[in-house]
Amino acid sequence: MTENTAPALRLVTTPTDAADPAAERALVLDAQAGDERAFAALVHRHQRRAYAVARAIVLAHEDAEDAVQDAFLHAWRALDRFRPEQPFGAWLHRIVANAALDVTRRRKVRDADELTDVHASPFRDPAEARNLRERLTEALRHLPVRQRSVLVLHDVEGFRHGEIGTMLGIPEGTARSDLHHARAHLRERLGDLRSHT
Amino acid sequence: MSKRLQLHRNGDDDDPLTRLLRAEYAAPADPAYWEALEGKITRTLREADGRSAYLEFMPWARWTVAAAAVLAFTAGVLEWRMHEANERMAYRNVLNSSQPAARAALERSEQPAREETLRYLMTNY
Repeated sequence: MTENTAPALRLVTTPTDAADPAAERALVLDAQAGDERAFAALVHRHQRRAYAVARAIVLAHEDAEDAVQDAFLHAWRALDRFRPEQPFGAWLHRIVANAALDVTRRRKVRDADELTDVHASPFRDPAEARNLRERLTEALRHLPVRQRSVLVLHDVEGFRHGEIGTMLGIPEGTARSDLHHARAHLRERLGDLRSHT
Repeated sequence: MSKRLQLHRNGDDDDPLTRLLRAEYAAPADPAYWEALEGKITRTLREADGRSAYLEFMPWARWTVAAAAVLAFTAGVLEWRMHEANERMAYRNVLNSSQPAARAALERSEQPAREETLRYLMTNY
């Protein structure tokens, strides 16, 4: 399966979030010297992507928040071991993924109804939307965590296979294959559904 | 229009299932949410720093308590030995005392043992 066009990046960004390796490196060095404000600036830059990574793994919004907080705390404590010449984002995303997997292990089962309802549904009929949401959640829960994470990171957040591979610590080819299997699984479970749009 | 749900290879916005996935699992768009989360994270870090400062202090506290216990034990032993030495000194003072009553009392306390030794020697040798 090839990626013909890059999907639009779904993450909300601000001008300050724009990639600026030199500025980021300066922030990392200041944070490593103990500057909490520099680390807060790193939090500001990376929290949205961190959330996206965590959400892809844990699914539930509250768990994603917990994982993000745990991850930043771990990153702050492990900052001495980070080499500033590396991309901070990739390092952080690995930490976030591990924190999210820890949360998943701690809370294996979670009520699907707790998933947030504030998002606008793309379906006109609320009953149909609810039914589809439940089936989608169920289908995602039946996926292995890694496949589910790859699917959400790719199709929801717009990350590329290589980026996903780096975040989850798997080869790019594995991310590609996981995406293929995850989609096949969803097609199998949800392919019978029809929607009036 | 009826449209069969399918997953587009690129996460196409027109695909209902992809749109549902995004509606369910995309990161919140409200900037206020991110400000709040940022605040929560920085508070967590500060609280954790406070706790870690306490935990860093803990080994020192343990050492201090251990050292205080050793000192107290040593002081106790020293005091007990001093008390014992004082007692011995007082006993010797009594022994060396020139007061007749004290000497007589000491002699009386030593007499039976001396007599018994003499009796033993006379009987056996």
